[in-house]
Amino acid sequence: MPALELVEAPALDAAGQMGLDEAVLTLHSGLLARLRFYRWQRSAVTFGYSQAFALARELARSRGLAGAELVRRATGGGVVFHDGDLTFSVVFAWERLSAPSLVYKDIHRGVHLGLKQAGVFTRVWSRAKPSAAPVSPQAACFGGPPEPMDLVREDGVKVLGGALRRRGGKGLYQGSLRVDALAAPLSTVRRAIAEGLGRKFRLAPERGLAADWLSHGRRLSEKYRSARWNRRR
Amino acid sequence: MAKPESCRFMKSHEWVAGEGADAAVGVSDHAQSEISDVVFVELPKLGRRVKQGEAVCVIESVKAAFDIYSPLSGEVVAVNEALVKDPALVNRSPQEEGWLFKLKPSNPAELETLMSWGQYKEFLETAATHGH
Repeated sequence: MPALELVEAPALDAAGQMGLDEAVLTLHSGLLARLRFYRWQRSAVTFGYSQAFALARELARSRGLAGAELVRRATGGGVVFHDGDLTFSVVFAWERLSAPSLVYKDIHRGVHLGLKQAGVFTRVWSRAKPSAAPVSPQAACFGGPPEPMDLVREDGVKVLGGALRRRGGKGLYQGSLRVDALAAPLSTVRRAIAEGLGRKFRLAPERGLAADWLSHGRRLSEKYRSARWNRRR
Repeated sequence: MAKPESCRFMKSHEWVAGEGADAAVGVSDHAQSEISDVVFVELPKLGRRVKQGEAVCVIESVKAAFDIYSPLSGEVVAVNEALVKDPALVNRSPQEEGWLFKLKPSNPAELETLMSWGQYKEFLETAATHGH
């Protein structure tokens, strides 16, 4: 069974978080998976790889986050407001090309089981969209009805959405969990996620990221800070 | 545009057809099926020089972005503009209207490093059996 290593990193802004995730994706090798909980310096907004900057800015304004840092992710998906969510990433071996829905199912089921163990009840949304529904991502991650493989509360309210990038046989998952929608303390939820994902992987002890990985992340964060990256669409 | 039998394939599921100034590149039917509903294709810039195995474009399906690699070294001489308006062409017609870009290969001998259709089918069967 491959191991899941919980890695610790300093508090960062959004460009720093994105740069560090890309650094881990780039430097990662082998079957080990790495789970990192973000520590935010301040509220921020991230948006999907192919989304328009103007749309993300508009949605940030309507959320009351007009002055927040606005950063394009390397992963797909919609606009995410990091204003009280629990954001985490998982980097893992994704050698054989497989459907993204299977990855979401694995990760979200792991989180579901971890939360259940902690007494927090959720379910993985399995209802498919009507076949006539357009195939297009939602503008905002939490802006519409749940999509298949989202994690929802028992009453159907979405609590966890994720986005993926596949590069060179490796995958990066970035997830946003609305802790405010769950009646559980942050520390409980955090532990539940690690233990839930640890059911698929063998949970290894937490450790800090190596200094060279952090410095590679800092270098990559400059891309995520640039207008060329964020405003290219 | 390109029957699978006349293409060469990468392990990362890109195909290339032709050896001249217009070697077309796309993703296989297997790849489009796994990637699922394509909503966006980021095409390479015309004139870009790429190396074999270099990430050259990105395909996004619902909430997942995939790096796409160049099967050969060379210069990008055409891109499929139809994908800008209709990215789902990759799903509907991965070997024909859903091609991604065309290359002028700089080292045609690299073709020999790629799999034939028969070898690619075998590769898919082995990967399915062994789970990777």
